[in-house]
Amino acid sequence: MTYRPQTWLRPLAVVVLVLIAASACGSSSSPQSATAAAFEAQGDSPFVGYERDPEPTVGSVALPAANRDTDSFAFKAEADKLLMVSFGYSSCPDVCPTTLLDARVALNGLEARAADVDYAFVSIDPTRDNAEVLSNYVEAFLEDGIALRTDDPDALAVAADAFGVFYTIEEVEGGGEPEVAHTASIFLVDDTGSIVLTWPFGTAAVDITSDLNLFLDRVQQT
Amino acid sequence: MTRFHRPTVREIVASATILLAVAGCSNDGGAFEQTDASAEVIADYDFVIPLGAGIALDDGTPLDIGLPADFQVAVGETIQIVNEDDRGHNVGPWFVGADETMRQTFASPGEFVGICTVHPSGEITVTVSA
Repeated sequence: MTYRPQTWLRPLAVVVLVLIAASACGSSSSPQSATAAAFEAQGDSPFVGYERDPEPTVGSVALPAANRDTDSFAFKAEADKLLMVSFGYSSCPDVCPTTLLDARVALNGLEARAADVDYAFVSIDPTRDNAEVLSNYVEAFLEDGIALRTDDPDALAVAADAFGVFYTIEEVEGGGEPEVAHTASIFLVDDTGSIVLTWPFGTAAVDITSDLNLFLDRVQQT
Repeated sequence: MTRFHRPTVREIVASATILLAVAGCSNDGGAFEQTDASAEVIADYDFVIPLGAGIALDDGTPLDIGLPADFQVAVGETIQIVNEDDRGHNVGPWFVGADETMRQTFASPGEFVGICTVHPSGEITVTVSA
């Protein structure tokens, strides 16, 4: 049986959420959305992404970076910066490219502040995502993106569990491409190694930009 | 290519962050304590995943969670999910770890359409209206 992404998507709809982000456009004059500002004024959360309390800590977890000179890249932002993290695989037909493209658009929206946000992409399919393939894939979307992979399934599982990420890779009878499913959220990690925000798949890039600006304001307060 | 544009329903239908949605809910969820506000903020919608939910599901016991199949919310409203279970659960687009509370304020109009394996209808649609 040949793996066909479109065929794979239909049955997956049975267990999958669809998010239509209707606000793909917004004012370019202010990085903070009017909605976020309104929430802040009301005392509600100003963020589009969702928060978990207590904030999960992932700073003690690390994976090798395929395109960095380290075998132990910790899920922790540099001081006064932020780290975005997502899990996926380079053969992903649409979810991962969409996620990474949204991330790029969101980071571009930060303009100069984008230098204060790193992005790490974790492969959940290291068999096909060797170091070169993964690095090229990530850097095609995000020039400075960090490509993380490990051949140790236990290490990958530990990292995924820390974020609450689900993933499966199932071989198809008769050969063909395996069927892969995974969490497609983007996680925001601060310089203490805490997950401070999560954006469900499909969150509009402009909303991610707004959240990033707010959090940068927060972490860079002196 | 189409896949590189703002995702359409068909494109985003493959989000696997929401696989195996499992949820419990009630009307007595606790208040969320904001870290930067002195006053407690009560969510518009509270759901609770009860302790033992995971074990029950493992045993094949369906949970009637009460989460409406057609969940209508408005921009500005807030959902809160308290996970009292000893394991994390994916609930629609959200993941809530063990003993965690998830909170999100809906910021943009849109629609979450998904299937909840523990809901009697098997499907949950979350519509966020302006």
